[in-house]
Amino acid sequence: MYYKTLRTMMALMIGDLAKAGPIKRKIASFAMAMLPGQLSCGEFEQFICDYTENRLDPAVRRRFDFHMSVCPMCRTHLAAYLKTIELSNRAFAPERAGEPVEAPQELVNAVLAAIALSGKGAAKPGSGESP
Amino acid sequence: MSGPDCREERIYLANLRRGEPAAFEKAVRENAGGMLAAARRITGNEEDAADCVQEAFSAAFRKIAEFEGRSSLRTWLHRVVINQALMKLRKRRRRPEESIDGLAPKFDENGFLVGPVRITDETAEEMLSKKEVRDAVHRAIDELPETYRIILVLRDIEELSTAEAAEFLEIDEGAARTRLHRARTALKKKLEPIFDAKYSDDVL
Repeated sequence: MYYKTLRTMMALMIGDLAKAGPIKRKIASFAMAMLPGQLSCGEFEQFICDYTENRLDPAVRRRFDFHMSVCPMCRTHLAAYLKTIELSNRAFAPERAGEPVEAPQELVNAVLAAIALSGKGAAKPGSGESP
Repeated sequence: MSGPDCREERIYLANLRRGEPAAFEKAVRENAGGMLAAARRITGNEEDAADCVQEAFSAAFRKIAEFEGRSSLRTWLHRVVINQALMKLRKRRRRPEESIDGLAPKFDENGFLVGPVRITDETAEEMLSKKEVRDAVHRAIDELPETYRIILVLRDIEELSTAEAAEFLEIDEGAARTRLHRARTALKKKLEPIFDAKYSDDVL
């Protein structure tokens, strides 16, 4: 209820912050700073990583969500941040898609040869029990 | 997993622990490719990556008794090769790293985020279907200073948890999270040219 009222007040006072001129933005920032316990853009930014890991405690999460709902700049910043994570994750997806990736035969042979050698040294017994 | 599969898996793992050559060979054939790709993503170098896979398998088979089967063999080997790749990086001569402060978001004196901020309506998949975008993403990650590149690769590409990544890097979890956040915002800044220049208001 508190947040809903705040949101409506902000919308009435300022309109769209991103399109607001410097004076309206000053007013908005002043208003935000006066509101008890609200986050500045800078503070919002510091909480983003915890937000992506779902680590914000409920009280902070409410302030985070409120800031997001009144600040289109931060909303866009966050969306671009999330898109960046997705892009780096998926940019390598073809070589990570479930199925085993074929290794160069040369490498497989080298690995097997190295293991065979060290195997003799280690002399693993283990013909004890049958599977 | 169905009964027979599970039994087969158990026999396979038992054979691996006993050092059965056929089981080793199966493990190498099935996992070397994925491990090579992971090592390449971390070292950024094909030759080093191949070395890492060799070393990882030697290390893995030496301590195969420690593998308890709680994670899959694949996951376990993935962790082992990541460890080898990070060791390889540590041995390389460290170049002084450039600062990424310039890529951090900026705020005005009132604490307001300073634009421009950009986003696109295209999905990540649509974007990555274009070769130039895929290349740009790879390049941007490559260009990050190593400290930041590594945490981003471990967390967002190799999909370790922040806690796991912190453990590999021998830093505390909070420091890992801060570093990760800076890496992501720097990468975001670098990727801005591929986001639409238009301002999109209703993204969330």
